[in-house]
Amino acid sequence: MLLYVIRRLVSGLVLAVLVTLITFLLLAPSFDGIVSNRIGIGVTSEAVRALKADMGLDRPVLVQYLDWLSDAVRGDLGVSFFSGEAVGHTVGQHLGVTLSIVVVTLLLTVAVSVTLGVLAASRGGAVDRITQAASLTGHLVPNLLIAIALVYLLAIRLKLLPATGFTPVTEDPAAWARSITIPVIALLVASVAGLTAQVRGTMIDELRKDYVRTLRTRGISTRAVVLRHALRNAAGPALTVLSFEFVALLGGALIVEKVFAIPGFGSYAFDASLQGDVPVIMGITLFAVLLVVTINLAVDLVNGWLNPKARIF
Amino acid sequence: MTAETPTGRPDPRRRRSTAHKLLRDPQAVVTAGLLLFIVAMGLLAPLLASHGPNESSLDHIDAGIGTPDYPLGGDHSGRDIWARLLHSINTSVVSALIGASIALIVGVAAGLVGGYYDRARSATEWTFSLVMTFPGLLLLIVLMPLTGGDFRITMAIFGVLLSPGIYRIVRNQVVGVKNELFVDAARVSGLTDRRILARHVLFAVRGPVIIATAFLCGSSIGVQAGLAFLGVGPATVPSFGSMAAEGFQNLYIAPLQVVWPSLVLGTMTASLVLLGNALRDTLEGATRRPSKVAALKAAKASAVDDASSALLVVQDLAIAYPTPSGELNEVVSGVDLRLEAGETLGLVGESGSGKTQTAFAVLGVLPPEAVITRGSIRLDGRELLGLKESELRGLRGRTIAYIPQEPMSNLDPSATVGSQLVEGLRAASGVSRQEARERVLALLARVGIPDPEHTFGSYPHQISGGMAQRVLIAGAVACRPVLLIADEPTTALDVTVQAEILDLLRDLQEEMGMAVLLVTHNFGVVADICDRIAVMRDGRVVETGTSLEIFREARHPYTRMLLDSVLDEETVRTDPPAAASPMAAVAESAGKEK
Amino acid sequence: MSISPRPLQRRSRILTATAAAALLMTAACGGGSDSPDASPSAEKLAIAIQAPPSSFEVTRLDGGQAAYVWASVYDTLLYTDEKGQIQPNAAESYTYSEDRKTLTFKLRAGMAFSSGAPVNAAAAKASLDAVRTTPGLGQSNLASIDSVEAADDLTVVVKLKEPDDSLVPYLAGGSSAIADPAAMKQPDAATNPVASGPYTLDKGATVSGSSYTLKKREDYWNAAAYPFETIQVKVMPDRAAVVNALRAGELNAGSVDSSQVETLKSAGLRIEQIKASSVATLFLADREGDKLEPLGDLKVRQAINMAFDRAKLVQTVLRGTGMPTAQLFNPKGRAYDAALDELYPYDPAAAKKLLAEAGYAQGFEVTMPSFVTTKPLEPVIAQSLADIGVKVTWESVPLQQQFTALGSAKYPMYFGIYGLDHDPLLVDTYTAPGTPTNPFKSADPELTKLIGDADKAGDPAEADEAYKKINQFFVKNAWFAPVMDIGMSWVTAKGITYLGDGSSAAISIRYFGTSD
Repeated sequence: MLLYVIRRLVSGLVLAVLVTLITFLLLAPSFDGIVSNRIGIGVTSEAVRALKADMGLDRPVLVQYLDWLSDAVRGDLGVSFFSGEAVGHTVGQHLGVTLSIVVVTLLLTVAVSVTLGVLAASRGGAVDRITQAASLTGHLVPNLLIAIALVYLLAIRLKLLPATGFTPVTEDPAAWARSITIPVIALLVASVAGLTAQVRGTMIDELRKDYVRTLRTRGISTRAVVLRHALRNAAGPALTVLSFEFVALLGGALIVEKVFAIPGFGSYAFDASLQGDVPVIMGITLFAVLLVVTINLAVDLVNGWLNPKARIF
Repeated sequence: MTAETPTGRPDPRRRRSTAHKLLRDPQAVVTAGLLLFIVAMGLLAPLLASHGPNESSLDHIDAGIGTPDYPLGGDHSGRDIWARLLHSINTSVVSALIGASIALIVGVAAGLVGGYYDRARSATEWTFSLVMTFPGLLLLIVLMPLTGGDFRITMAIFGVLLSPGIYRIVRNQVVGVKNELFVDAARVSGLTDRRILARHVLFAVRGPVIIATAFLCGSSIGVQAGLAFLGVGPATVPSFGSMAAEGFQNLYIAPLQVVWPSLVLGTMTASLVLLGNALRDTLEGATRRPSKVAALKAAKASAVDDASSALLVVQDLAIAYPTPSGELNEVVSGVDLRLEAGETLGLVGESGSGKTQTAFAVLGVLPPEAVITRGSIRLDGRELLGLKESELRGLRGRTIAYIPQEPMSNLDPSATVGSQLVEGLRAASGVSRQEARERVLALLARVGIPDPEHTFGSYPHQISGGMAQRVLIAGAVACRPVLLIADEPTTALDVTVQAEILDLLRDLQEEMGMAVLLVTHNFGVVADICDRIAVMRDGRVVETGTSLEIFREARHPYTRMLLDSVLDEETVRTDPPAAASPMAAVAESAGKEK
Repeated sequence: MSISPRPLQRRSRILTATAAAALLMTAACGGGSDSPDASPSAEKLAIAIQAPPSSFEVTRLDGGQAAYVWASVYDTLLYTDEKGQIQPNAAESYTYSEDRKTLTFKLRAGMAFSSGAPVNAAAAKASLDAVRTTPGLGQSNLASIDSVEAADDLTVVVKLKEPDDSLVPYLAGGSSAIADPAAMKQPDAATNPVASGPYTLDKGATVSGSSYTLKKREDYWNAAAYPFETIQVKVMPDRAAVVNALRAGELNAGSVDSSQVETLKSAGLRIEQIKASSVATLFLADREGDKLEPLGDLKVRQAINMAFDRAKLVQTVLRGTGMPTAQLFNPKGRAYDAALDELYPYDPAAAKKLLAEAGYAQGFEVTMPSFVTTKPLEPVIAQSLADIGVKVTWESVPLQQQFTALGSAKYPMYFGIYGLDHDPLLVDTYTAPGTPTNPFKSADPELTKLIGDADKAGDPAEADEAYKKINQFFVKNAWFAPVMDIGMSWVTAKGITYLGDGSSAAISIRYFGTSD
């Protein structure tokens, strides 16, 4: 088991090196534009060349990458081309903001989706139709519209919640909760719609399996069979969907972050990419890859725990 | 799925009826119709709108709905919102086509190669885990200078990012299908690898791939709109995303400007998701309609004329299933059975004769769609039909118990053998966990399991089929039931194990004095163990009698035919075991993949 | 519509560089009776900017709205007041020598950094030298400086290579920010400034890239000019978010699109409308017709100038918050000449005729770069051009490539929105050869002479005359096709006023005051 985890982590590191290398190679052709963007307008190409040399961007691309890599291994991700901030620190800061929103969103997603999905699958009838309709609405209404409506109602009209901004949880937990409420609801609708359909589907399949009937013939209550047995077996696929949603939300919260002026990972990555802030893009890529590797590993471990047949260690 | 439930019976007309089924599924029809309608509107945009998407008029800036020639008004640049909306459809469709087809081409090609050639697999696996790890959105933006913001190139790259999903589906299917008989047969008959891949494997994976395509189109459309919302890409390409972004900025002056594109975009993506779900239901044969787990629809027990003192009396029992058109289709029509305490009754019949349905009716575990239309089931004089689930639960395990046919599928794969047995024992008898554990260990030893401690802690997939059947028997007799219903308890087992299991059943019956209702198609088994026999055909009992009578002088021609076929039994099984057909296996594993 | 400007206070203040959605128009209606909470007390100013400021190194101070942050932390030698006049600041006086090649600054006595070190001539010299010697924008702004000397503790003497009338305006901006020489050498110079100005950066309450908190220095020499104890600068790229934050009372000052004005007014907020803060213009850059032959013909360039119904564009697209204009200069500046606006009336028929005379009766096609910032105006610009037969194809250019794309002379003609600034700076920007604002290196002996006249003019009236002539030269030769000045609506909550009247496009906390 430990060996398995180590093997996975090592292959994750190799992946990280490859992905960052590819990213760097993709960025290299834009270096000229990035340098002149940093200087601003009204500067001749000689000045751009001078600054490019100054920043070490004129060296062979591979040498630059290896430089970055050896610094990164030592924990130094460099400083932003534009703000001069240490990349490791700011990436962590922005990631923390987004994670605090995404994790809450996903926890609520799980709570709501599992409840709705299980109820719909095991009760059928009206409960199921309501769930289906709610899920359809979630797919149909873009979260932008939900965000607009909530901001107008809760922030501007009723003044219950802030319309913009983010308070770190470490600073003031209550203000944090208030600042993420509308963004979380906006994100929640779509992810609940997706996961509920998933849970409902696998639960229906699971409840039709033979072992469910057999367990019932032993006098075990339907409720226990549904929750203790069928749900556990249905959890694997749902967890996989959830892990995809997690990764998607890291970048996908971007629109919500923009609309609420939240300094999150998505908008940070977006802005850095538009500007061509090479050290920041590299840092973001590295963090993102490591995060994805970790999440996938965690999902596989939990899946193994849930489903003994799938244990690969 | 147990072979005999009518809903799960393989339908010989299945292939031809796929299209029919889709046409009858309102979800598929409505969503596909909506999508076709929207796409057609896009294609007809030049005819339907009186302006080009980028034509701007200073006189129509933020014009209201219903302005002549501007049915939905003008946007902040005086462009015709209706025209832009229609042209945005085309942008979405092109995005979907590019994104989905690139993902399909890359994913299917690599999946075929990686799945079929074991040597290539580690390379493809690596490549795709690399692709999956890539922060997609970042990549699309980083590549902007190279793509020039052209959404078609962007969507092609996005297609590559989507391809791992398709790769996995195809690779899994290919690995699974590769060793199936028909591919082996194809190989023997001299087909080249390439033709095998093309002909058989592609055919087998088409279902999951078609389903995935709907979702690929949906996400491509969503990502294109998202990027356009963020301002990536040229302004002259009309897109729901850029329309929504502009409308959002214009929110307080013309709130509807953000609603139109959101509405059409939402309709398109939701339709694709729902169409995908409908396709999955149809192609994979699963009607995902849930119903209450324990919601038996039963008519009030009919008046009973026989006040017999037998342990189990089934009278005039009729069970029906609703057909897609809503009518009821009877699978059991007026069955009468009697079983005295301690007696063994063989319920014999071919698959589909209704014997398992009858057994499930006694246990009260018929599938939720089933309807008991009439009749009576009395156990020890107590009418079972119409009892509440909680009342039935009190009987199950303690008074009536059940041994299923297929040992593996009847154990919860993710719980240990021991925990499942302990849970059942405690539910039925209420003993303490410790005592339950000891009794289960003793039972496991009693049913002939050599190392009870080890088996107790094992998961179902770690034990053999014969062991699993012993475990199920142990589970059934744990509370010394009065009536044991055994549904083909030996059919799925090896011939050598069959005899052992039958011996065990006989021993246990004698030891505990249980009555046994043995459901089987096998007269060999019946001869071994049964006191009396009831022969079922097409939902009716055609003949009843003692074993001796039936074997010596069966009156009904059907019984005689069954008896004649006993000789062939070892070679030809009339009941197909679960998931016997390769197609069913494919469909099932595809379901797990999701 | 309004724009959060990145005025051309220094050469780089090209608006395109600013945050994306700048131009997107938001609108007002609905509204109703909601009034914001009692706005944050006048003790505190909470204001939004669109893009985060970059580094705090004096060599890298960014143009535009970032000045709300750095100009609060750093004192500059001179500053531009709300009337657009250049005024003494850290330097209590500045004098030119007779030959306009020596510029002497007298610093105020008794100024100190927040670290306690004195703000003196040595510090000013160190800062100027750092800017001059570091590749970047400041370097080209100060290119005319030959040397900087600290004559005594409070006297800075700047020697020029050639007279340069744009130097003083540049020194009224970020190029003369004074940093603590000791702090400049620290590795965290980019993020941890030592203040010479009225505020210090409160690192604890600052989230880089998103929210900057500034605390007033009571020991600052001119503390009385700054009424706010605390300033919070929030980065809000989305224009709609700014409106929401203003309505919800999370901001008490900000610039918004003109279309929002009514809503915010009815919500009880104060509005100050500036008619001109930036100019939307077409650069007819290939004036020799190297890449796009038609542009070499004056008639074609004049025809393009006649393609725009400027008054109507202002009235409809900008909802009146702007001014039709055919010139690049600030209407409140010295070079502006109202008569020039009459030169190219809207007349598509006449424009077509001019094109035909030039041999382009069928019009011609042109590819122009599309930037995120110009997108909202592109449809109407393209339509106006299409109406006289000039067919535009837009080519999307990513933000990071904008300057290289323009500077490489790839596009013979392009559209941009540029902040209005001091006249000398505008002239400098629009004529510097080989830069994104003059990629085809257009030059003309008449123009060179006029610029030289302005640089050497000792008498301000003489200089004014030269700038007027330069403006005339631009307009008559149709080097550009300016379309309109874009205005700006400043929204402030109760207790806060915006003091500017549009004379100055500079960005400073100083333009905000308190009121009842």
